[in-house]
Amino acid sequence: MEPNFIFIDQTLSYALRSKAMATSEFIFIKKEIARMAKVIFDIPLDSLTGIQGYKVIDFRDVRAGISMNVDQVKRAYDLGCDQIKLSFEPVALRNSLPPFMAALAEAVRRGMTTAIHGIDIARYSLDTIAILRKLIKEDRLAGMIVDDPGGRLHPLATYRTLLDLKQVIPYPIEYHGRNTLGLATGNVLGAVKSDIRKMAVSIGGVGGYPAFEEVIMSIGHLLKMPVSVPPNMAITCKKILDCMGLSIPAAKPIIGSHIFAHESGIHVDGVLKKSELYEPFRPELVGLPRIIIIGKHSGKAAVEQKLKELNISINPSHLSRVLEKVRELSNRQKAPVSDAQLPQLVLETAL
Amino acid sequence: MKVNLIDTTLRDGEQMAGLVFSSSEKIMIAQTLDRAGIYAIEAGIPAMGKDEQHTLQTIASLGLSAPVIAWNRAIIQDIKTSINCGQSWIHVSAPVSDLHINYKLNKSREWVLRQLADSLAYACSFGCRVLAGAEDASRADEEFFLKVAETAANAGAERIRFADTVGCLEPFKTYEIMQNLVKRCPLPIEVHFHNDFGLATVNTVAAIQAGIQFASVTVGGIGERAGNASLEQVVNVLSGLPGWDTGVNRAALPELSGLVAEACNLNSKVHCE
Repeated sequence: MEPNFIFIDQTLSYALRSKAMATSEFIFIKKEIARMAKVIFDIPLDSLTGIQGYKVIDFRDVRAGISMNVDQVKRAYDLGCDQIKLSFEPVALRNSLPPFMAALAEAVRRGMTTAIHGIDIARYSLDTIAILRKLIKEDRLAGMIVDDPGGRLHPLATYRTLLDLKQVIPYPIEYHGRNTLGLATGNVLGAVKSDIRKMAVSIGGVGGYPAFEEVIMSIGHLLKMPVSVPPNMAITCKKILDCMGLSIPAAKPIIGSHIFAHESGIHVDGVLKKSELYEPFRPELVGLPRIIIIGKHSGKAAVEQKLKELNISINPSHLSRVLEKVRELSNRQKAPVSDAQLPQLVLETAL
Repeated sequence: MKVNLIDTTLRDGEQMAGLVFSSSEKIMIAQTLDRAGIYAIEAGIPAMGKDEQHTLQTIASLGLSAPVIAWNRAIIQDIKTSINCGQSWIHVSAPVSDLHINYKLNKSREWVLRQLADSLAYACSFGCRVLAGAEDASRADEEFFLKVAETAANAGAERIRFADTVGCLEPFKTYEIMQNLVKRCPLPIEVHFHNDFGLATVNTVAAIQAGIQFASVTVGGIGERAGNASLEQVVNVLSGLPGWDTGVNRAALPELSGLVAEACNLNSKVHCE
């Protein structure tokens, strides 16, 4: 059975926070992300109304983030949002119950799907949860968001805490992690292991959220759960980030331009024999090319292959000397040997 | 508990395609790592040629507190080369998955065991301290990994590296595997994770939580493909978990990160992290 993951996108929200965005850009990014997976876009209400020409945008897959305020619920409804994220301050909950309940009632009256945001995974209070349980009828809520705003937990703790929370929270739980310590994707896997199917992500991990591409690939390839990995993810993610004015580090997992670049002798030799030896998945799966780089770490197999690609034939007995020259040159120039430089080295060797 | 970090920026880190550290950069990075309190430094591969041998010889003679380790294939000639350039800590790596043994080497498990034992014993006979490396261990038969460890222990190895060569483990599987291996392995295990799914750091932490006391890292997480577990991240995570100590001075990390980034010519413009 398809486990039915729903990804709560944070990319657009981050994009709106970081720069002024044209309506067309917003629509483009939204469409590209929605094409890749089943997604809900989490965006604060004020950011939505800040988009130029927002009135023409279809907000049905957008969840407006609002605070405890009836008027904000109405505004989200008027924009065409079917769903809202209603935030509360746990410490102030007792004092602010009336506006919270009024906002919730307004959303229910208008048939809007509501998720409650305010439980911090590292410091939640059972009292707060008990109050919420007493007040809210289950059928009113789409879910409760468990947040790790500081990204302080590790996967085992995330997994155990979420299991504990499932015992006391009678609504579906949604998990929002952060990558503060570099553990975000692992923590999402912890949430998945605790049977959670809704999680916050962003393309390339922008805004400090778990990276969508890592999460979906890990769920599919490592946990081996049935989830469809969208084709050409590296290309789509690049288009989205380009539009936001961001570049992708070459070594970025799953989508970096150089994650299938090989230079070291052992690796190139291996990949040419059988790609699985040194590639975790095939480059075509994410739409990236394999690149053979000739340089300091090269071995004979790589140089031979590169010469073949360049249609250069060479006396096999000269190969070792060419390799030596390759290493010397790349050391000297502190860079790999280019396709233009290699024939010159072959020529020098033959002399 | 002490967690011992083996930095391989100068070996696996430099294997990031297209990267070349100059000799002086390597020396400076080694010195800075040592000052930061790193447990050991894997400094390079002498078999790569004269320049590398010269650099490794210099690093080995700096009198650093951290052991300086030379990486070798399980080939006698590689080890001779390392010894000839003054290396006294010898890491010997051999693939242990059937995939690698069959398709890369076109040999048998027995051949791997023999080759590894001979290479380790050879290095030992010169008075070197020796370490074994099990390449592609995460895709290997666990029993065979243990057999490799036993063979390495008998040949004098002090530690065995469990390499997740294509970065295909996730933290829960890592935890389960390591909990089991820690109990059964005759040698201390050093974990070595790659970052293909963005999980290198988190896997390292999971392995440590399962009882592993040695881990490879690189500065900035540089390395083959998507890189390795990042020294900075592993140190930061462990410093926030009660009970673990890496001995690495966190205040020294920014200088180290900057030094390596500069040597990598890493573009420091805005990107998506």
